[in-house]
Amino acid sequence: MSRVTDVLACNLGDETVMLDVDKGRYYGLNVTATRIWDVLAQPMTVNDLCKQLAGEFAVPLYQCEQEVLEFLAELVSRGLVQVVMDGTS
Amino acid sequence: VVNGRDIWIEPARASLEADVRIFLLGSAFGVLLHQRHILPLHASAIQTTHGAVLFVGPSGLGKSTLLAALLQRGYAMLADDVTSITLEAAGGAVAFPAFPHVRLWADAATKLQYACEGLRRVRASLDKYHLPVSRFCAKPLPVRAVYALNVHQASDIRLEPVENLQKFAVLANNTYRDQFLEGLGLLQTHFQLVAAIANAVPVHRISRPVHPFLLDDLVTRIEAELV
Repeated sequence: MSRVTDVLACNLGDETVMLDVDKGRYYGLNVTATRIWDVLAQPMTVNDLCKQLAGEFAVPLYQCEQEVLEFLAELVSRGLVQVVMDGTS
Repeated sequence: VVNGRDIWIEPARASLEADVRIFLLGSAFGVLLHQRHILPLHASAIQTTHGAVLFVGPSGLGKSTLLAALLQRGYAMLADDVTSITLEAAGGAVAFPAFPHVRLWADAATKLQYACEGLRRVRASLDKYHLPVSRFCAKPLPVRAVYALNVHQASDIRLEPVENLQKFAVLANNTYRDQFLEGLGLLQTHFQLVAAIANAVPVHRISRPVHPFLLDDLVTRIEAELV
């Protein structure tokens, strides 16, 4: 997974606000979502992402995967992150 | 309105000067400010010992009434409807003065015991008046706080801090003439400016009952906060 490069995001305390220029809409990320977004500054596999987050938030991996996948699907549907198929990330 | 510098006016035949002025000082100046990367906030502002205090809120919620009441208590005003905000290099937000008048509906003026006779109307067709103001702060001030006026179902007045995303929302939603931003190609500039200002100024929500207005209580509560 990787961030879409032309998304404009700003930190507000420990939360994040994003601008979708095409739609003229704002998206807000809460503290947890902000952490996921920050980690995705480096493109990585969903597996690695979940492992890292499960460790950080001290939750079981299966639960973490479920919630992260849900969130990632949402980000993908809004065009904020993308699946990269280059085999190295 | 070009490059934040030129405004071209083509008055329609038979248009009144007062009506042209409203749109010049309103929408045209709003666009001018956006082009200069200055945030025009739909807010009134007063001078306090520690800087400018701003009040935002939808039309009809009592922004101007509250401002007039604060002026009666001796505060000087910076703006009654739109307060321009810039960000300094050091990161602080600065509020700029607008015009030395308060525009007040006749019923609000009556509530505050101002006489409207002889005052200039905002527009010929409106029962809204220009109230001249003697205590006017004509210099820019650092922004001390922004209060978002709100009404609620409870019967008392409540104050709560607004943080992070909500803070951004308060400033973004109260941006003056934000409907022009997309056409001006300034959505990104505005977005970054609002986020930076949100990080620089404290925002509080102050809620009052719909009825009664509790104007005196509201003013007293705000003054207590400002000490």
